[in-house]
Order: sequence, then structure tokens, then C-alpha cells
Amino acid sequence: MLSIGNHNFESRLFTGTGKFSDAKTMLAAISATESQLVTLAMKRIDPSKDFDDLLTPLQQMGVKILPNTAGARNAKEAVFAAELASEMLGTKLIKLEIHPDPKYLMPDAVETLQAAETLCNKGFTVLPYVHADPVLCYRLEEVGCAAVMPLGSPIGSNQGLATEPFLEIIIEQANIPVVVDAGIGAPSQACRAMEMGADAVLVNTAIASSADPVLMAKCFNQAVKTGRQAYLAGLGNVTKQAEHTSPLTNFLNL
Amino acid sequence: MITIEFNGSAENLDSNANLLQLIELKNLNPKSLALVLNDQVVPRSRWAQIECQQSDKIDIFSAVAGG
Repeated sequence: MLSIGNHNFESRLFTGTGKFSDAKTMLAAISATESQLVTLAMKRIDPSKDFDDLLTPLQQMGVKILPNTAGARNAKEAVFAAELASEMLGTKLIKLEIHPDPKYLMPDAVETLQAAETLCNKGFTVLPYVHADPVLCYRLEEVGCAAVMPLGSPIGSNQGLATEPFLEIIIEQANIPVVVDAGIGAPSQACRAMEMGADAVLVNTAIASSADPVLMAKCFNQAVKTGRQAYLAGLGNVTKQAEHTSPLTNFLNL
Repeated sequence: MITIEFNGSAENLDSNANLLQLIELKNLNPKSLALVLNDQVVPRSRWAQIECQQSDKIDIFSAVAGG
């Protein structure tokens, strides 16, 4: 069982709802992941257009909503977005993300730390999206974050665990859950993150952009479970030299 | 009659309308929205108690797909 703040999760696969071709596919894929925590963003509505009510069907599925602060360019805007989300959804859970650069969507460490401290002081359960920076993750833990969400590679890039050596340090040092977020592009990469000891992963684009999102969702579900079990079982040592697994009987010299 | 700015557009409104009535007038489901009045988030419990004022800036937000 994974605990973040006072929320408990059996599933260690968190899922994003963006980029799906339609709401029906998204809901079917989320269901196939068996995720219990699902992200949504906040947007000012356009009164001239109909908008899909995604919230009601997700709530009917019984998942918890993790609103994000996407679109915020600094700490002040992120705090505002968190308060907006809290009022709308009646939750204090917040995925804090501040990425002002539209090309690589790199999280702004300084603004994120400032906003995290403010939101923790206001009683939010803060999950900050950050670069895989062990020092920053430690600082975020110090100000009271409930988990950290370091990136594997740029958001939506499907590049996988480009930051793997640094994720290992974060996992080793953190006393709060580590959720590897962003860039996970294949079930094998999610499995690897879990084998390393990540507490959970958050996946969106890899599922949404698959030709068969529901089947891919099932694959991620299996991969995360397998990776977690492998971590619990304990991976064997890596050695440079071969170590024989069979007796080296000398058949030719009988 | 007063004029307000609703999600970026100027709108005329009966002078006694409160925030909840404005939401209903727009056929919006109040359960899944957040309302911002002059850059302040207004708790749902207060919507029926606050009357719209001339030049108020009101923005309505909803949850949308995102990662």
C-alpha cells in the first residue's frame, strides 16, 4: 500500500488524462490501468463552446483526482491555480507544476520550491513536478511536500528514463514517496523505474498516443506491478565477469 | 442594468443578479466549476450571497484533460 499524505493507494500507476482522441477512449484506458489517482488540469471555459464534463465520469469510476497547476508560470500563479482546484474539486491534493518554457517544459526549480512552501503552509498535500535533482527533492521534502515527482525526460517526449542515475539517488535519499513523472514512453521503462524502487509512476502520453490506448494501458498496469514485485524480490548483483550457473563438468577429459 | 466582464467578454446583466444566478443563467453545472471574482476565488457557499457589481470581472474555470 502506498501512502501519500493521508491518501492510500493500492495501484502504483498514476495516469494523466491529456491527449486522448476522445473522452470515451480516455475513460476506457484509465479503467484498464486500474489507476486510483488521475490528473486533470484547470481551464477558463469558453462560454461559446460546449465542454466535456470529464469530472463526473471519473468520479463515478471511484478514482481520486489530482489537479495540476499546468499553465502557471510562477509561484504566485501556481498557488492561485491550486486554490482554484481545491475549491472546484474539494481536494487538497495538488500536482504542482511550473514550467514557463514552452519548448522543453522544464520545471522552474526556484518558483516550484517557493510555491511548495506556501501551499504546504496552507494545508495542501503537495506533489511537485521537478527535474531529477536530488538536492531540490530534499529541499522540497524539508518544506513539507507529501511526495516528489522527478522527471524521466521531457513531458510527452516518450524518451524514457534519461535521468536514471539521478532518480536512483533521489530514491535512495527520499523519506517521502518518489513518483517518476514525465517522459516514460514504454511499459519496460515504467517497469525499470519500479524495479529501481520508485514508489509509483505517472504515465499519460505513452498510453494516449498509442494506436491502441486501452491495450497499452493494460500493458502499463502489468509492467508497474511486475516492476514493483521485482523490487520487493530484490534484483541480483550486477558483475562484470561471468559467474557460471551450471557445474563446469569437463566432459572431454573423462 | 450593469455591465460585467464574463470570461473576457463584456455582458449586460440585471443589477440584482448574484453569482449563483449568473451561473444558472449561463446554463452551467455549478458542481464542477470554480468562480473567480476580481481575481479572488469565491467559495461555492458564498455564490448566492454576492451580488454582481458594475465592472466586476468574473471568470469561470472547469477541469479539463491534462497530465
